[in-house]
Amino acid sequence: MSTPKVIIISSDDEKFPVEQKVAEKSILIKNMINDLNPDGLEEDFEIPTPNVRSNVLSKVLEWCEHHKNTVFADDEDEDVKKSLPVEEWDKNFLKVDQEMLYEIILAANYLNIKPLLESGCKMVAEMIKGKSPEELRRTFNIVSDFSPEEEAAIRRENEWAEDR
Amino acid sequence: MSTNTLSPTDHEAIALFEKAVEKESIGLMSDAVQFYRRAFKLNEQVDFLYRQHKLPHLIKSLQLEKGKNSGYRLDENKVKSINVDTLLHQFKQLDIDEHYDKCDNGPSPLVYLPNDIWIHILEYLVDDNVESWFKMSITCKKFAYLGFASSSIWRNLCYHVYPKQVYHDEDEQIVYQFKNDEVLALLPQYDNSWKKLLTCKPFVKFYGCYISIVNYYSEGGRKEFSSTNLWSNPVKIITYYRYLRFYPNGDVIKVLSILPPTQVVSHLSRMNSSIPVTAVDHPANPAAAAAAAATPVPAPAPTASSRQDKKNQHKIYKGKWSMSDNGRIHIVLDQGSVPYYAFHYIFQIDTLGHINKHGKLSWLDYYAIRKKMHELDDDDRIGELSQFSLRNEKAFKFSRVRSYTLDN
Amino acid sequence: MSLPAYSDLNSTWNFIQPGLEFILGAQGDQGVTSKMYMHCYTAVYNYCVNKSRKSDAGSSLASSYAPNADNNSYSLAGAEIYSKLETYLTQFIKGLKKEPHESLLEFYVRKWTRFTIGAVYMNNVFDYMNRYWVQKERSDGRRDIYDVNTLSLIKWRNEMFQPNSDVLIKEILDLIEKQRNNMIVDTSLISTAIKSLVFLSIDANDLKKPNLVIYVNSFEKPFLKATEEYYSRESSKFLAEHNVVDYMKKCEARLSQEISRSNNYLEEHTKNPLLDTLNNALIKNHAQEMYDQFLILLEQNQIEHIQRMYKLLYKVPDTLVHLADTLEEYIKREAGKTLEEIKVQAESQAATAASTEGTPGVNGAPTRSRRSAGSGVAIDYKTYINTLIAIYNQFNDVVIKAFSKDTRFIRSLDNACRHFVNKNPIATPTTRSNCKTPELLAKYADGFLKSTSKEADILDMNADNLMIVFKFINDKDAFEEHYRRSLAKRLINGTCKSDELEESIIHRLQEENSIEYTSKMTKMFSDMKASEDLKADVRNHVGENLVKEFNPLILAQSMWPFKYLDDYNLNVPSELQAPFEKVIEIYGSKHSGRQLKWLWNHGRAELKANLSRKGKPPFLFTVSNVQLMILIAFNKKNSYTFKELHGIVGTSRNIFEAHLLPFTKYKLMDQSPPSSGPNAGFNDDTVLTIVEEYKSKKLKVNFISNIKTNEPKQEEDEANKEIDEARKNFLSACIVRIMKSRKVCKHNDLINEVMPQTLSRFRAKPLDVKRVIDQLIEKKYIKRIEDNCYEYMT
Repeated sequence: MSTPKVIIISSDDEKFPVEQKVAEKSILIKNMINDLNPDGLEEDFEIPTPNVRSNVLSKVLEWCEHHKNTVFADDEDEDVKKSLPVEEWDKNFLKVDQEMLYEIILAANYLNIKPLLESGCKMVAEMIKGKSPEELRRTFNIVSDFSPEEEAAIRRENEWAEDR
Repeated sequence: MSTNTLSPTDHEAIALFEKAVEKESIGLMSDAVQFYRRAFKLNEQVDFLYRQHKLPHLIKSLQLEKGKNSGYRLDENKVKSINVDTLLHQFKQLDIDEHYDKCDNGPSPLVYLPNDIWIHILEYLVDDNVESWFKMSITCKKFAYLGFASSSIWRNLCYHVYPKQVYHDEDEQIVYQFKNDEVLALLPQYDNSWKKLLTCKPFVKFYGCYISIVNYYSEGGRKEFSSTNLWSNPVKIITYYRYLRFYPNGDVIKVLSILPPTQVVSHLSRMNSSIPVTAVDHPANPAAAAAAAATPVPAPAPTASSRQDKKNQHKIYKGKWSMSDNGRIHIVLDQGSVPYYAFHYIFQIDTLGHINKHGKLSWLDYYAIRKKMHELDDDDRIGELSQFSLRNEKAFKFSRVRSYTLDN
Repeated sequence: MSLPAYSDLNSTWNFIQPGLEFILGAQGDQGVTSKMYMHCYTAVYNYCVNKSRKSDAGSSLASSYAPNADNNSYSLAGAEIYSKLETYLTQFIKGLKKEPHESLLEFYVRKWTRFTIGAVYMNNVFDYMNRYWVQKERSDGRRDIYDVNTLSLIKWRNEMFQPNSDVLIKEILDLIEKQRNNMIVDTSLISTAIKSLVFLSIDANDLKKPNLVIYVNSFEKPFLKATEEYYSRESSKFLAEHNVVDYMKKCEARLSQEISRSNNYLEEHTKNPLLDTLNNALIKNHAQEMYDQFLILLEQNQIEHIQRMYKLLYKVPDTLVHLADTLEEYIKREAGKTLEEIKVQAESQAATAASTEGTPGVNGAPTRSRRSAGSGVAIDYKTYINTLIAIYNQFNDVVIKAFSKDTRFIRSLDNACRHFVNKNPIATPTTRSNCKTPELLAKYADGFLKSTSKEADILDMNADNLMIVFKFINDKDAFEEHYRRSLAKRLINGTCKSDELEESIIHRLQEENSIEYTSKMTKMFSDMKASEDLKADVRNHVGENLVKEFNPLILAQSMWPFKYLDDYNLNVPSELQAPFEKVIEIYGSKHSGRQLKWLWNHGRAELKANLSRKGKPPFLFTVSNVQLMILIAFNKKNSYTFKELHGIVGTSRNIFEAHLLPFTKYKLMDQSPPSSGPNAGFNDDTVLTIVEEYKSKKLKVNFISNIKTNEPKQEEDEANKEIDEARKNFLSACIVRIMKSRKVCKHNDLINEVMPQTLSRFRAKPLDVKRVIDQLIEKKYIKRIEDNCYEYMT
């Protein structure tokens, strides 16, 4: 008898059977497995994820599979998490279009996969670093909706904090 | 605006004018005056020409960089009347989509990430690259709201700033620093607003230096001897700079020099002992060298030290700083330019120009105390206080330096 | 079931709530499916996320917020759901109903168990809110916002526990009491309930820090009180109906029960206070009964029970003090009794043995009595010392076995021994007398050190026993004096059984006291060795003619306890003079400036006497020096008058008579006229003639042992005088030293300084010290000044 698998079902009803270890990269899934199976998994366990589509889910599971044996820095230590740069493999993995990056970050947030969420956020941060406001507007395709007076007032109120 | 072609002289005049503006911006008044004079000599209307030809380009490039609101002449009254906090709160209501129903390409999907995530990203930027935080937040109303009205951003900034400050108690006996939960304990005093805390509670900035620019006027020639000298040696403007840089462990370094910031700032570090002097004498300012010999030295000091001062001019002096709860800084320079004096500087942290919070150090006091030179020194004068006048001194302004880190 | 509109709080909540009911167990034991779980989680998530993405345009709550409160503005979402949750939890808990057949405790434990499981689920379902909103609030200083699990516990505490805590605790304590009364109870009820108290103790400032406030106040305090009452009652009742030994057994049983109980379901925190309470109620409060029993156990020598009592009382160490004191007093009394008995026995024996006093010439009579002035009959030293040792051993055994060598009890034993060794009916028959133990002990030592003792007699006598008693003697200087005297005799008479044994004893005395203590003895040994060398020298020079073996012994006067007596000034006949003179010559050449005086009163000679019947070998007579001179004279003539003989030999008349007497008594000489009666009857004209043939069964005849002089008595007096002198000198030196450094000293201070310095040698009495002070004043070393002070005079 093989070890029981966790079957994650996407919002469009596609089933993804994975090892328990892989699935438990998602704290949400890990907690649920423990709560509902206090004596351990005895048979295959199905978990629906209504907020995640299959294409995103498969990408996310790909990340989990790759990292199934990785030990991540202590969750409690915020400073450690923040100072680490994005790992090389993750960087490549996340070289996707903005739509997909958005979906992945959202999924990581929903499923509570902290390391993936961190990597995603840092990728976005990298997109922001070093750009002027106008360049940023172009990157994210947003329009400045202030009046000049509003913008000046906001600047004056807050720009000094840059100097921290 | 006419677009007549400009003669080479005109171009030269404009170039000189630009140079003058630049010099003026870093406070080198006498240099600036010289350039202005030369520019106007070449073309009386150079200021008009400049505004006509150069300014539009400048504005354009500024707009490219900073967006459509740059280079715009502001209605100052309107600006002053805006209460930014209220403004930002209004943004909360807004949907970013409002602006885009007409556009074919909507904003990047990333923009639609939940606010919690965006705030997380902005927090990360605050730690890692603080200008990016600002620039991102100023892009549009939604981000202005997230970046400037979220308490956690300001919280991060507070935790960056206050644990590094060095405080002293009322009697200046004990020196202490805040631990993280002590920072949290400050919050109730500021209406539980992190932003208010950062705005109101003074702090010393480490990622740059404080510069005080003093221009004073000295007469060129001696009146008694020749009246012609009066004409050819008009009043000279002598500019000298004081530099201060602070470190989170209580160290502070001070330099007194005629060199302008461009030559000093990159060498201003506690790891150096002096500013390298490459071109001491400005060709434009031959009097500067003479002035250097008579650089203002604290009045009661004997003349012997003025010669020393020429050598000491570019030396980097190290001292210790600490501040009171409400922003009164006390700097002690034990090893200063005069060996038997310990120099004391007292400043108050103020707001620079109504906008730049904590960007200004105003002079409160300046004196020296006679030191005990060695074990057996029992000079009567030990402990004597010599007061220096603040009449000629100017406040310090903070200037951001990108290359500074907490380690260099 | 489709997910609710994410912006609508109410529909979101309505969607979640049934799920929560399942999760918290309101729907009986129906299980939660993964679908339900995920849907609740997703609903919460959607609500929080989308609320934060798009604000509710119609919501009027936002604008009513204070303008500069930039805190919760963007995610009011968290606050709303949180408050709904709070309300729900409160209602839920309040709605829990007890079944009619179950006790409050059973109800509580049953519901708690289910509730805590549900709280964990809920915590995970609301994870998103925990992660973001709760974290933020707490970072901003809001200490009244908690993660959902903690919130659940707090609600439970407020709504379920606090209103019912009195009844609950009472039921728990009742169960515990039942268990103590040996009834079967469900201990899991107790342990779960107690554990819940630990979980309910929450520190609002630091949620992670373990906290026992509720546990301690609600449970531990009443528990300890109940325990105390229970055991106070039980112990008093038990003791009223049973004896102490059984009580002790019961205590042991109870204590181990309580310990296993506390391991089962009490928190670590309570362990020590519980033990304290138990020890107080069971042991401390009944210490008196145990003390009373202790004496009986001692008398019956019930080691096992004594040990049991010791182990119990050890738990409250203060109680042991009294026990140790009791032991000490007991030992002292027993010792006193035993020694008194011996004394009485000896006195009655002596009364019947009075007629056998003074049997001559027999060695090693079993009961050598010795008269001591004015105190009745003296005691055989062997019996005495052996008794002391026996008492020590008996109680040492008790200390080792019953008290596990506990230092308190070792001290009791030592104190008691020190007392009875120095002060008992035998050693100090009157309060003023000097302790006799040192002297008796010295005799004991002599007993097993001299070669003339029979093995059978000295079976149990050895160095270990000697040291046991030595340790406790106060007047160690007295012992030293007596020991040295007997050692001197052994040395010059050559009766040391074993040199190694002698040396080992001296070594042990050194260790026990000080090197200085045995310095004289050590010197004596070296004198003996030096004399060996001298003897060889002399032999080389003198050769062996008349004197076959000459053993001169040069003894340093200050070290040896011998005195030169004028009475013994005898004349050395010319034929014997050579060796004596040679000794003086050789010694004088080696050590100038020293004076040598012959101690004729010590030492002995062996004479070959050709007075045997034909064919039989000659006799060997062992004689004293005086006797030697007497007999040598008879080489020249067969008979002399008393006066003549006296003139030849010399010495005082008494001495001469005493040494002469054995010859007539044992028929070596004829006396004419013969003696009548017990007295010698010598006068100047008595003629003494040596026999031609001596009749004796033995070849070796000893004429010394029957010389009767006052010497033994004199010696004893001398010894005591020596001791006294030495003490006076020591005190003088001590006082002078102290006064020299202090210059001025009060009388009491002086006494207080002197006393400790004498401890290693003897027990000084203040009166003795005062006498010495007076002497020193006379000799003008110190003088008395006002206010009872003394001043040192340079």
